[in-house]
Amino acid sequence: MSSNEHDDALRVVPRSETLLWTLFITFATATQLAFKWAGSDLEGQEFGLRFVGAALARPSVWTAIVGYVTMFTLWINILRRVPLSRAFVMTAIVYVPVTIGAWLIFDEQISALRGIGIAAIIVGVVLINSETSG
Amino acid sequence: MTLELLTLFAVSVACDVFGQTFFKLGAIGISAGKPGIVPPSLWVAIGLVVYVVEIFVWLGVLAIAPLTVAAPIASLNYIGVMLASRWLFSERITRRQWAGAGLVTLGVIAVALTGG
Repeated sequence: MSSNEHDDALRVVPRSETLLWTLFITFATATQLAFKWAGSDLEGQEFGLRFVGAALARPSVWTAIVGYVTMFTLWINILRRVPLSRAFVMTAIVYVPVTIGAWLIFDEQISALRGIGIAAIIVGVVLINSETSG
Repeated sequence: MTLELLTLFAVSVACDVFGQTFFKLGAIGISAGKPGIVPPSLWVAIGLVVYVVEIFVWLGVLAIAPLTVAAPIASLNYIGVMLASRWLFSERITRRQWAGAGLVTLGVIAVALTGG
């Protein structure tokens, strides 16, 4: 990446909005699924120092931590290009791949209410992007 | 709903609004490429601190209310951030985009009712 702009540690490589969103949604989905995985790993344990120790020994927890840090970096770069009003609402789209992932990996059933909710999120995000006047 | 719970909800949504506002201020600063009064990294750091505070506020909420009650109410953060962006950053939001945001919020409420 060559640029005359001021360099900053928070700036990452992808410049295209679509690529940034694709990466953000991918990492956000992985992070949420890692949390579900971590939750089943640590189920029933009491919170405390031993809990934190047990948590840090799990790959699921590390996946979630790395996912969070990566999401944060991508998010700041999304905000450099996209109006906050549009960007923040669009993050809700992550519920769609998370629901499908939870169904495929953890065999979680998709209730009618959840299906309707996901459909509303998809239509809403399409509406928000049909006019990018931000 | 108790006054304590209402306050915790309001603070939680306010944390989202302020946290995202500080992130946006940092992002604008990075893009501007010249140092402002507040360095972009400081805005971002303040935003992160706000989110750390929110973790504890949210734990307070969940100590009183179950997740399937708390999460749908917390979905109001989408509307809160939209309003803040309009006022603070003069972002233009069309009627169609408001409708989209409303649908997304309702959708997230429905998903949250099923356990998030």
